[in-house]
Amino acid sequence: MLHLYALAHRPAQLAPIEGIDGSRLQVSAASSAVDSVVSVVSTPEGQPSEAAILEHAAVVEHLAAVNDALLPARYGRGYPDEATLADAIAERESQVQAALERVRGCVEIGLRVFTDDPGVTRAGESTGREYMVSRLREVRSADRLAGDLHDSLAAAAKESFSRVLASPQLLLSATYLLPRPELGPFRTALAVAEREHPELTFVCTGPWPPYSFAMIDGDRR
Amino acid sequence: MSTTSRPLEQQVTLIELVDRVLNKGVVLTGDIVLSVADVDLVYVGLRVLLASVGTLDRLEREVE
Amino acid sequence: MSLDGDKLLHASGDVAGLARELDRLGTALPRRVNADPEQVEKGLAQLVLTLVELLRQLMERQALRRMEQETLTDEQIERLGETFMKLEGRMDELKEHFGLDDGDLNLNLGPLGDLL
Repeated sequence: MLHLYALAHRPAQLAPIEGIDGSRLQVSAASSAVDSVVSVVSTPEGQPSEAAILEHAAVVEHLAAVNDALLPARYGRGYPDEATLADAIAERESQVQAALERVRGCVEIGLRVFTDDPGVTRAGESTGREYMVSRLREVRSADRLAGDLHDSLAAAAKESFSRVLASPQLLLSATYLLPRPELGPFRTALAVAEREHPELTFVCTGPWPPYSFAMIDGDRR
Repeated sequence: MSTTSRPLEQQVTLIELVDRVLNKGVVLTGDIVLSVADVDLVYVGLRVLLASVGTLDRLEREVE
Repeated sequence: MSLDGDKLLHASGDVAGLARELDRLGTALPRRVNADPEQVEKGLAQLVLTLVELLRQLMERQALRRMEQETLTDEQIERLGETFMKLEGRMDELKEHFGLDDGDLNLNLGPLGDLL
């Protein structure tokens, strides 16, 4: 079975790293302009193991270092043969090419901003109205604060998406697509935001290969 | 996946990494298949629900 | 792949307990359930409660927006607030009954991202 790691603009460059379970990385010519990077693995049962997930991530990481436009693939169920994979890509060729151009030269940064604002607990309300008023206040102030933070950071980004109050403590969760030269300005903007908001906890991870911007159907979250 | 035995930085990084590898990245197969209790369900119906809720929301905001 | 923190660009403030918070949001490995009857029931409960939670969030968002625009009567605000409070309480009970936490109430829809 073929395990797919990523799609790249032809010609895809391989990296000196093994695939899952010591398998050998191969380039499979998917279409006129798109190559896929795969390896042959035995059919997995149930959940992927932690080792397999880490190996997949390591391969994608290495491929992103030598391919300017790379779409990381989700850890999938595999393909029975090259023809099936090529068909799947051909069906969406224009979207795949568009996605490759979108992520060219870019990395991904993930951000989560936490608040320990005690006003979030709603044990105090007794009436429906009190509940609504308190929720509205919560949502308004979160929107304002998260919006300001996100705007300042998204300035450096080619694309981004964000979510406010995914949970009571998680004020902002955002993902940014940054052209590599913008990493510096982004870090500066982040440092400014942290200085201005000592009451918040910022957790910023990356740079990642552009997993979150590799999706080719519908809207991203 | 055990995370508690690792230092905090590794825990955070691992969680973010696993999220990307398993939940993000390009998906080529047509139908989105979800497994619940080892039973595969096809979520075409849910996509339609999402789309119509999103449209409703947008239309309402345009009216305002 | 090394996890020596080279992917943690920066973390400020009180970072302790964050790993559990992220876990709670369901970004860790999804739990696979077996096909025994109790687990099947739990899987379906997970599905149903996730949808209920989605609708609750959407409705609450709409209600708050109308409240902001002052297009709701006092009585409507009171009734909505009471309903959402009760619903929240009921959801907590159901989650506890099925042994589900917040991170379980999410669905990954492939290219559409996460539902919640």
